[in-house]
Amino acid sequence: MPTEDFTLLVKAHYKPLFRFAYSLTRNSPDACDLTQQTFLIWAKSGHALRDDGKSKSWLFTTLYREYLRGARRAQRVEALEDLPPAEADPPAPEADSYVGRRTGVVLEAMPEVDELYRIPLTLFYLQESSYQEISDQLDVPIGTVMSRLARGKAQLRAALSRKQVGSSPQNS
Amino acid sequence: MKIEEAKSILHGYRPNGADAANPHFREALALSRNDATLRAWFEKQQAFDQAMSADFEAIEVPESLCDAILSAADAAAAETPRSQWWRGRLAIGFAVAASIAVILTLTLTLKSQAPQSAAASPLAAFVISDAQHPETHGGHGEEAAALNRLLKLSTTRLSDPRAIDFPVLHDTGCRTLHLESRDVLEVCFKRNGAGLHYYIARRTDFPNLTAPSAPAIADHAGVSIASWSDQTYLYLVVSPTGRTALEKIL
Repeated sequence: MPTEDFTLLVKAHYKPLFRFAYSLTRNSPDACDLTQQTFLIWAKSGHALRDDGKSKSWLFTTLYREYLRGARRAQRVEALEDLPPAEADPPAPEADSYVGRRTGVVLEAMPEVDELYRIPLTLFYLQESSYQEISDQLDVPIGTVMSRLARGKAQLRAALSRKQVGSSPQNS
Repeated sequence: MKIEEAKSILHGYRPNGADAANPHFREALALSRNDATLRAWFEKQQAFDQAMSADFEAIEVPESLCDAILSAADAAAAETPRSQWWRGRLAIGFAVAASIAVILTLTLTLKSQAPQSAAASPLAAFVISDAQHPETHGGHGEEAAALNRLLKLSTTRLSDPRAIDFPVLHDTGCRTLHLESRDVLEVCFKRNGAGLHYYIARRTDFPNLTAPSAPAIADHAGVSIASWSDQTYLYLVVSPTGRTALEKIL
């Protein structure tokens, strides 16, 4: 039987982990597998981190690494860290027009954000991790997280704008 | 601090207020209170970020996922019982004595690698647990779809020899479970109205498990599992509704 600590750990974190996995894999069965695999690695490794913050960061980091490790994914994921530095932020439309739109649009638009920016942006929007924790989870400097969030938001806005234009009546 | 620098920092300020006490944001927040332009920008950012976060929060998590994780961990623990004597509250002297016993026991166990029936193994418990949560399943990929079509045919006997290409199934997206870092493929199919789950594991991944060459059915609390093997693979088919559904198609 799983220990009480392990059960509490699963109950505390499986939902945000699943949502993170879902944003990576974009389908529920794969996200379930990835989430389960992450906890099994924890169980197998016998981790005994008592600090919940560290446990959470470990779980997110491990899930992300497992995602990258998947052979098929690894072929499709670009060598992210080898990408050239982003040029100037793309022009971003005003944010207000998306507030109050139907739910689900963001998830449709997120795949259009470069993966380099999408991962930290997803972690940010899950609101489970601070700047510093995202930096730890992705093993990049805080300054890099800051710039990737800014650029990711700009790309997301642009993607949302395209979707909004594409779904307007005159374009239907 | 300049406005642009403050904006860069405030991009990371979570809209749920979790960063309110984080000193990293203190100066930028103070500047936003005193600078009308920055304040307006920040308010728009927060509204935008809040709307985006709400979408992530709306991602539905399968209700059974928590139980599935705990069951899988249970099965994995049964597969490789861990000696965690060092976490106990035993006195040091007792721990030393116990450690010697544990080491001896482990040594003997590892050397013996006693064969175990696949039908009564942790692998069986693992797939039975998985089969009881079909809402987390899903066939993926062309090869898995082709196998699904074959398994659905009324003329197909499950135990008939067939060419299974594990790597191709795996690489083309067949649902893959992980038990102690070992891959187990799964394909769902229906026969005679019953939902069944076909699992394939590499024998090399489970060298101590044995299974007959002809299918044998075992029952576990209302769930039936047929297991057999060939030279390369172990096959397990789980029927959550009992053995009748299996007996008709093996």
